[in-house]
Amino acid sequence: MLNDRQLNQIDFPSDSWDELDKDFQFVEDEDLPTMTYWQDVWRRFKQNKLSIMGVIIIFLITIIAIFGPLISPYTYSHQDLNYTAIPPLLNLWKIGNEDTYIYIHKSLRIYTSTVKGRLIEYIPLQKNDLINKKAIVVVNGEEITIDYNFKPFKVFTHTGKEISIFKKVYNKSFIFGTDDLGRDLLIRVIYGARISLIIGFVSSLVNLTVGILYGGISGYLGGNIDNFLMRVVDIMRSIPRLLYVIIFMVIFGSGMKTVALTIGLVYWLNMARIVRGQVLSLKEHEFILAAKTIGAGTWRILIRHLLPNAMGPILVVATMQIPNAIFTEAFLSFVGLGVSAPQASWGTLCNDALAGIGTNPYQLFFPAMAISITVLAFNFLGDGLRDSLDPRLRK
Amino acid sequence: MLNYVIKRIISMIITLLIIVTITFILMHLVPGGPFTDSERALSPAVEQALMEKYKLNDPIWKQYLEYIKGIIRFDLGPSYAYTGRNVTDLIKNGFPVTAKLAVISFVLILIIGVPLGVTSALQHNKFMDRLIMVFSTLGVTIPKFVIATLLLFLFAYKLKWFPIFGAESLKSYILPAIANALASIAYITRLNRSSMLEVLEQDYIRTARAKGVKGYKIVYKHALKNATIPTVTVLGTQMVTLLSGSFIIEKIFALPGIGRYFVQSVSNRDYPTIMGVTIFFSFMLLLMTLIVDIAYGYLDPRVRIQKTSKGDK
Amino acid sequence: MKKSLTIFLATIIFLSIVIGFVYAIDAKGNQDEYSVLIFNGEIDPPTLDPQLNTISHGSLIIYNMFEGLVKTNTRNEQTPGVAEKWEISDDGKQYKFFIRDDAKWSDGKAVTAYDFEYAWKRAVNPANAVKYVNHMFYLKNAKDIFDGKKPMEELGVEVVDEKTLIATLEAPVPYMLEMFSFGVYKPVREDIVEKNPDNWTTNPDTCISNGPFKMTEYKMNDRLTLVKDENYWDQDRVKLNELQFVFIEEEGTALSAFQAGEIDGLLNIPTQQIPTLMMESDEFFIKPRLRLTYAAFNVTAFPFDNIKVREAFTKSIDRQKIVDTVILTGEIPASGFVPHGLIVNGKDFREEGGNFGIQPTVMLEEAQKALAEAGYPNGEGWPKNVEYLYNTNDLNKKIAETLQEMWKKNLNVDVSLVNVESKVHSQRRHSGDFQIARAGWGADYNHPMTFLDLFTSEAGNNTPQYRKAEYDSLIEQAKLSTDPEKTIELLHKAEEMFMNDWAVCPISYATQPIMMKEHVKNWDLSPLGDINFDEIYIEK
Repeated sequence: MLNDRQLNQIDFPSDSWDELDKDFQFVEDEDLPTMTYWQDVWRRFKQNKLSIMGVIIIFLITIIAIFGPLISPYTYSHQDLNYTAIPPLLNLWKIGNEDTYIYIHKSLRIYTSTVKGRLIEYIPLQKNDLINKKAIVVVNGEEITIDYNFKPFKVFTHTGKEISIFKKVYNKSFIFGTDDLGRDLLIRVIYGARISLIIGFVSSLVNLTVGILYGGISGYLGGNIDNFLMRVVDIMRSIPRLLYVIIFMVIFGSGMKTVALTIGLVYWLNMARIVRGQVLSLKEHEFILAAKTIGAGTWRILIRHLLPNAMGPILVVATMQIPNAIFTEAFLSFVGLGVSAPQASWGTLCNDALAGIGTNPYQLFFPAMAISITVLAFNFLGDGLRDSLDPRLRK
Repeated sequence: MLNYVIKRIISMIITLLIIVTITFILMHLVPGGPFTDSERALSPAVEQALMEKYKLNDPIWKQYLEYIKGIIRFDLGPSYAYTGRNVTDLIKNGFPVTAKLAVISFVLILIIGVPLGVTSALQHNKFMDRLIMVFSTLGVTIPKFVIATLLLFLFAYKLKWFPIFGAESLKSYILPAIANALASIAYITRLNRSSMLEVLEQDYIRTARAKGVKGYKIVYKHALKNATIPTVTVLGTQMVTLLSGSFIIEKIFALPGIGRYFVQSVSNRDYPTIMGVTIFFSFMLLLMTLIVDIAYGYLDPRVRIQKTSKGDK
Repeated sequence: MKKSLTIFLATIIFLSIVIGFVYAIDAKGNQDEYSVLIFNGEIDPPTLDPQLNTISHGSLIIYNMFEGLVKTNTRNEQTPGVAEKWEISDDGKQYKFFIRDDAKWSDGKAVTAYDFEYAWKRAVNPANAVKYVNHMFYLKNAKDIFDGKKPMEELGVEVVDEKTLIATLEAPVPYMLEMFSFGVYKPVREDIVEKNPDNWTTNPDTCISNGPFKMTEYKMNDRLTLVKDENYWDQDRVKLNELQFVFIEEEGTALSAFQAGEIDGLLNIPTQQIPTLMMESDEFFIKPRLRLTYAAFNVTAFPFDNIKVREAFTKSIDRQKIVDTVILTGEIPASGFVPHGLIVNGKDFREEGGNFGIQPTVMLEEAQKALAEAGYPNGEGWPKNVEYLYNTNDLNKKIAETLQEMWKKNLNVDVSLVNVESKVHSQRRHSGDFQIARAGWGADYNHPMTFLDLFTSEAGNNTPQYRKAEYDSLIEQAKLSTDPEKTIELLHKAEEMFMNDWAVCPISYATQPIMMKEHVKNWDLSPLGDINFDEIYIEK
């Protein structure tokens, strides 16, 4: 390299330069716009079809969770004990010559129905002969005998002629069927979305707050404080966290708030470590040094400079925390420490349906599907975020 | 090396001690005592006698000291819920079952997860890859208790391929292990796929290819070892996931392991069992991390063990 | 690296062989003659010590392992047990038992009067913290000894000789013979117990029993194996060679195991499956149970300190609907506190007692009227945050949700549901820290007293916090009365007083669903929850 003195000694020929025109203006290259980091991220993110799908699904579910209950004719707690455990798919029998159709529930409850599968009325049994295993019911003046010596049961007219199933239709009154207390399962699943998503978001937020504060401080201050704080994290990582969730839940009592808070408070360790790692590597960068030189305070540097730049990986972890929280809540429901009845999260709905898997599998199917789809969507979103935030990892 | 191990063991003991203290405090914050029965009230005199018997009338700090003294002698105290049984016995009885479950799950992870991940990477963007990816994504989207119930219902109840409950034979463990391992298998598959893909793009693999080394040879001789390094690092945490997941699995398949004490001990306010289980699981976790760290050092010579011992992993 | 591939393949082959082998040895042949019954014990009982046990899971096993002086069979008949005969003094306070010569422990030693003396003194000794000690207080001085006011020597038990025992009571007790067959009165062996006071029942070597079955193997939380005891005096009665209890907690798993033929019987069945089982299974049964499910009002807490509010709440629920569509096990809508099936002096206590004006279905007008009288016409001014406390359990939750809806619909009042874990529930319930709480009570013995002495001022299980001197005195008189007719009359009065104060909202008289394989013959389940495994035989 040449130093200044040497530079000055170079003798340039005077015709090496032309003077610029007075009118000349700099024109930026319009074909190649400069992109900020986030624009770049967004560009890459858009290309990932799965993540876009994930975003759309999450958006849709959120919309349904917010507005679904407003549209539905039922509320999540409305019971009709005459309509318990009705499946989404109905077998209809045609009675008489007129257009009378009945649905016979496997626990011997009879309903009239339209041919399209909208239930009209519950008709109590006239007589149930437990010894001969025959039940008699009168529909529109027509006497029908249900003989349940046969498995599955058979239906006969009063003349003894067997009536076979007329057709299978989808239940139009309760699209997802009803639960054991005659509540509409569709609205329960939609309402469950509210609970599960709130728990997911809130616990992720708690997790984010605690993690950022803790990790940020630890990474930024460094030295002994960092060592100490990270020691604490190491120790807490060795605790069986599930056990702690359970203990906390018993201390605080169950309910949606406690579930969300507990999950957030117990699972922030990972976040803290990520944030710290980011801050640790970023704080050596020149722009931080520059900020320090201008005299920016610790908090200002942390919040204005470090965190925005560390946001990428943090966002990924926060996104992945949501399905984790939904899972943990489901686990708590399994243990019986979930949200308070008659509210129900997806986890509660799954758990309530477990024992009836042999008889009412649909009660398990819908909430389990809901969990699956949501978790899948969040996974896609998280993968997409990670790939677009850090192109090196893109596969 | 020896120095390092000793250092780690000392820090393990301190960690355990801190965990014991935190758990001890938390436990005593839980409302309801160990001798409140669920339906019948206990006469105050009997409750008093029980409190006396288990030394629960002593001041908390004294109970704490006694407990620490006990741990040093490897005595975890008597269980309040199971008359006449020591927590050490409970763990000794249950651990073989839980360990068997965890080991079989672990083997499943390795013999399914790793090959699937490698296959997926080698078939990158082809049909097989897509199929494996779909499977492995699905694996992490269903709660464990739903998977376990479904497996039980389909394969044990409907198809009768496996016994429904108990720990009578190795066969009894297969379904529980699959249910327990499914999420981890999916995770390991994805991890292996991406690390394999990364390795396959490295210069030394290209060099090998350029020199005309055969495809499978590249995979087994050059790529596989390096691609499994990330897998090894997460195996420790996966083992812990398996151990703590065993609660759900043991309950559904009625296996007599220690996972059941996870919830039972808290709801029974069985203080010594809560402590015992916490200590035991923490110990297992710490041990796993230690083993993984040592194994990591062997697998990847770039990682100097001394360096990992510091906080800045 | 070829090597590692080989190792990898070898591992897989090895594993397949192991798995195949496991399959092969599982398929063992049937042995005839030797009959085994496998029953689901649900949870491994905390102890099998007859004095220390308090839960039904323990009693189910103890009932078949230990035998008292008197045996109460599942039909509530008192037959000679260890005592071949007994004499009762005219004043009903003294029982003289003659122990049979052939009564033996499972290690071959004879059962003596000393074994009973030891067991009873053990139960009364406060240092042993026997939870069911209150059942010992019928014996003379037992309460005072327990309270430390009298020395142990004064306990109302006297060993005349090895084979003769005299028990003296504080007052005559109409159901005392049955009490003598109860767990706490069963004998234990001093030499065995003293060696391992806490854990002698956990090991087959030290678990010496005197009943029809003895322990041969005990795998904790997994399986308990009992076999017919060749030293038992009444060999002929016992047909089963082996009785196994497995511990499957999850109801769904247990039912699957039953249907797959892996177990022969089980008690609790997932409610969702019951309608189908009722229609389709010949192995599903519903048996009477001396148990009541109720909601307890805290009569000392706002707003249930108002008797009219309690009346309104009690009258505004549809018990029939709850029983038919929520509980599903053929339970009976409850209208009193003592369930059906307690037959004293040839009369069913419930039939005699009437229904206190509580109908199975909603009594809408009366309920609304009562609520208006209480100052909340049509639910106006109803306080916020009225809580119904229940302990987490599938059925409890469903009942709670149904009650909440019914109160909302019929009275237009809001009640929020609070579920807590069972220890917290019982603590809050017994200390009166609640407004309404789910509660239940199962009979300890076949007499209405087991239900009605709950609500005396001193009783620990007085969930409604009901304290009334007149009630206490009625129960006290009933306990001291020498005339069984008079006792019953007083108890009827007590129940009426209590029910007229609307202290509880009875919901249903329980039943017990049970599943038993068709090849299991001659089985029975008593209303107290005991199963006569000693009379069962298997016919394939």
